[in-house]
Amino acid sequence: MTVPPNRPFLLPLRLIAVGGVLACAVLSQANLGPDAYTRLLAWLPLTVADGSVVGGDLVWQTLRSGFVLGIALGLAHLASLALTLIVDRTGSVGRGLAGVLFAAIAFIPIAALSWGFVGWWIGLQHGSIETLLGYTPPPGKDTAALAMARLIWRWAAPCLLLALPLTGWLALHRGRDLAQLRGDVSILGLRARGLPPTWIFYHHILPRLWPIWRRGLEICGVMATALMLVVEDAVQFHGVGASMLTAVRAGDVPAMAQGLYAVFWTAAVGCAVVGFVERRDPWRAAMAAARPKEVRTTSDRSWLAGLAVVAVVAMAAWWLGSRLSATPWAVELVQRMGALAPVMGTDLEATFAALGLAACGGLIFGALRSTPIGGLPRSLALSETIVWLPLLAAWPALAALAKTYGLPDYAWLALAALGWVVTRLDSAWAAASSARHVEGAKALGQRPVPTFFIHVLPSMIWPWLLAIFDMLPWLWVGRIWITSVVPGTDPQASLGAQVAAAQGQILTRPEDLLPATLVAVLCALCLALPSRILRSLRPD
Amino acid sequence: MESATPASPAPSASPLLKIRNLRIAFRRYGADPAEAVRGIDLDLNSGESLAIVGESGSGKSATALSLSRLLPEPPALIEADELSLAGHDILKMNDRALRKVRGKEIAYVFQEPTTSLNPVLTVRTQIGEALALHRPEIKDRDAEIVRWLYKVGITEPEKRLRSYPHELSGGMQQRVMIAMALCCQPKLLIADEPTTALDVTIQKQIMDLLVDLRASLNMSLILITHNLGIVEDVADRIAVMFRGKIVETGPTKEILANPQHPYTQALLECVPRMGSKRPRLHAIDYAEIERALG
Repeated sequence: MTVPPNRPFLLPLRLIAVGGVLACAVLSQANLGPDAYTRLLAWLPLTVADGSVVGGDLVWQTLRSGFVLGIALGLAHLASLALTLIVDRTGSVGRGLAGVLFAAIAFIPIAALSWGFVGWWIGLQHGSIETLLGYTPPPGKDTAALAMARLIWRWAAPCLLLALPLTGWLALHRGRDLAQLRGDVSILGLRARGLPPTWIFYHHILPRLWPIWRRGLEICGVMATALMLVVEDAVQFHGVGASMLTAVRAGDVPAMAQGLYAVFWTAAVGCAVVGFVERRDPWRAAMAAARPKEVRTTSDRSWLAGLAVVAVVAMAAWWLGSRLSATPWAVELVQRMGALAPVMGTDLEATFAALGLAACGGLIFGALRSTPIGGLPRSLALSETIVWLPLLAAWPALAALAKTYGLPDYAWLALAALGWVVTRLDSAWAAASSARHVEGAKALGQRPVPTFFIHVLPSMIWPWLLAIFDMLPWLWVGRIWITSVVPGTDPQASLGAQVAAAQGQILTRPEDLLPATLVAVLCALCLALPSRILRSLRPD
Repeated sequence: MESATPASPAPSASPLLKIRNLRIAFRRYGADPAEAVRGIDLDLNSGESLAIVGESGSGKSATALSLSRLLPEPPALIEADELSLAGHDILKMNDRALRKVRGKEIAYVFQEPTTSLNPVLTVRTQIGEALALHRPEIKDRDAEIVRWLYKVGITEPEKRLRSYPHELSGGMQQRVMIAMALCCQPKLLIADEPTTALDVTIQKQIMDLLVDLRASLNMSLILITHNLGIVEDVADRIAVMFRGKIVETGPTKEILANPQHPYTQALLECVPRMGSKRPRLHAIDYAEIERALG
C-alpha cells in the first residue's frame, strides 16, 4: 500500500523558512550588501555589482509557473483517475502490463528530450524538424487565429508536457492501491447486503482510497516542481523554472537565489491550498482508519514485462548492428553508445554513492528515531519536512553551491534520498519495535541493545531493501539531470553533461543526442527492475 | 450459560430453507478441486434457530455463504439437488435477482465488525444505505435508524448516528452490524461466528441480544460457531459438521446430553468445564474417529 507520509505541522511555513535559508546561502556567493538578503526575502528586485537589476519580473514568473503547475496537476489527477478505473477492469494481467506502461511514462520526465529523437528521425526522412515552440509566421502574414493558437499553445504545451509523467506516476500508484483494496474482506459484507458492484465501488471503495490518493497528489505536486524546470526550459516558457535554469547556466547567482526562493514559495502555497481543502474533506476524519491491510498479490510478474522491454530493446540494437551493418549511422550509434561505458560508470558511482549514504544514514537515523535520542527530531518532524521540500527543483542551484564549497554534487541528492528513506522506514520501525516477539524478549529480561540487534533489526531488512531499490532509478534520473543542468561539468564525467552538450546542437546534429540519452534511459529501465523483482519475492 | 432462554417462537410448517445434497468445491490450479462441503441436507423452518458447529475447515462458513451465493464462482463450484430459500431457487437466480434476496430475505453478521464496517462512512450512512436499498418506503430514515440502534442496545443512539466506526468499541460495532442486518427485516439471519473477535463478557451480551431479537422479530437464525459453550441458549437444533459433512443433527438439548456420533462426543469432551479436574485438556483423536467411522 503506497501510503504517503504525513504532512508535518505548519508545513507551508517550514518550506518558506528552509527556502529562505537556502536562498540566502546561495546569495552569499554573490557578495552583495546585507540589504540584498532582506530584499531577496521580501521578493524585491536585486541590484548587482554592475548596476543591473535582477528579478524585476519574479512575481509574474512565479504566478505563471504556479498556474501551469496547477493545471498540469489537475489534468494528471483526472487522467490518472480515468486510466486507473479503466485498467482495473482488465484483470491482473492487464494491470501488470499497464503498470509497465505507466512506469515508462513516469520515467520519461524529460519529454522535451524525446522530442529530439522525433526531430532526428524526421530529419533523417528529410522532413522539416519541428520544435515545441509555437509557429511564428513571416511578418505581414500573421492572423488573429494564428496569434490565438500561439497564445493557447504557449500555455498548453508546458501543461501537457508536465501532466504526462505525472499521469504515469499517479496511475501506477493508484492502480496498485485499488487492486489491494479490492481484496478487503469488507466487500463480502457489502455484497451480502445486496449492494450492486458499481454502488460498492463509488460509495465504499472510492471514499476509502480518496484520502490516500489526495495525499499522493500532494507528493506528486512537490515532485512536479522539479519537472516544471525541465519543461519550462524545453518550451522556453517564461516561468520561474526556466529563468532559474538560465541563471544556473549563466552563473547568475542572485537570479539563482531568487529562483530557488520562488520555487519554495510555490511549493508552500500549494501545500497551504491543499491543507485548506483537506480540512474541508468529509472523509478526513477517518483517514487513519482508511488504510487497508496490505494484501500480498498472489502473483506479481509485472517485472517480467519490464525485463521483456529491456530485452527487446537490446535485441533490437543488436539486430540493427548486425542486419543493418550497411547503414553507417546504426553502426556508429552502437559504437558511440559502447564508448560511453566509462562515463556511465562515473554516473553509476555517484548514484550508488548517494544511495549508500542515504541507505546507511536512513538505517542509522531511523534506528535512532525509535530511541529516546530521536525524540527531538521526531517531535520536530525533521525527516518528514525533508520529504516535502522541493529539493529536486532546487538542485541546480544547490549543486552549484555544493561545488563552491567543494562538496560532491550528489550531496543534495543524498540528503533528499535520506529524508525519503527515514520517512518510509518510520512506520516499519514502529511496527518492528512493538512486535510481540520483542515484547516477549523484554519480558524475559533481555537488555535493550541485544533486543534491538536480535529482534528488531532483522525485521527491518526487508522494508529497508525495498525503500532503497525503489529510490534507485530516481536517483539515477536525478544524477543525469543535475549534471546536464549545472554548467562546468566535464562531459567525460557524466552522461548528463554529454546530453547538455548535444542539446546545444540539436537542430544541426540531432543524432549527437541519441547515444547518451539511450544509454541513460536503458540504464534507468534496468535500475527500475530490482525493486520490482524484490516485490515479487516478498517473504511471508 | 445459565440464563433462562426466552420462549422461542413457534416454527411454521413449511421450511424456510431447504437444502438437499449441497456440494461445494474450490477449483485449484494444477490439482483436483478441493471439496469443502460434500453433500449435506438441511431444513430450517420459519422462526427456528439452528447452530452449525464444527472445527475450523469443516465447511461451516462455506455452507453459510453458499446460501446466497456469496462465494466467488469460480473458483467455487456450488451444486445441489435443491437449494431454496423462501421459495426462491438460489442456484437458478442471476446476480440481479440474488441482490434482491441478499439483505432483504437473508442477512449476514460476520465475525470481524471492524473490517465489515466502512471506516470512512458514519453509522447513519451505512445503515441508511441498507434502508434505502431494501425499504425505500421509509421516509424518516434517521428515526428508523435510531429505533434499531436502540433495539440492539446502543445507548444514546441519536448521538451515535454520526459516529465513525473507529469511534465505537468492538461490541458496539457488532451491535451496529446486527442493526444493519435486521433493519431490512430479513426472514433469515446468518451469524457467522459473531462473537469470536469479542471478549467473553461482550460475547454473552451479543448472544443474549440475538436471542431476544429472534424471539421478538419471529426470525429464523443460523448460528455458525466452533464454540459449543454458547449454543445451548441460542439454538433450537444443532448440526455438527466434520470434514464437509453433517455427521449429526437434532434438538440441542438432546445432542448436548446424549451425542451419538464419535466426533460429536469428542467435540463435547474438548469443552473445558469449570470445577472438573483433569490432568490435561482433551484433544480430538482423528485416527480414532476415522476408525469409528469405518
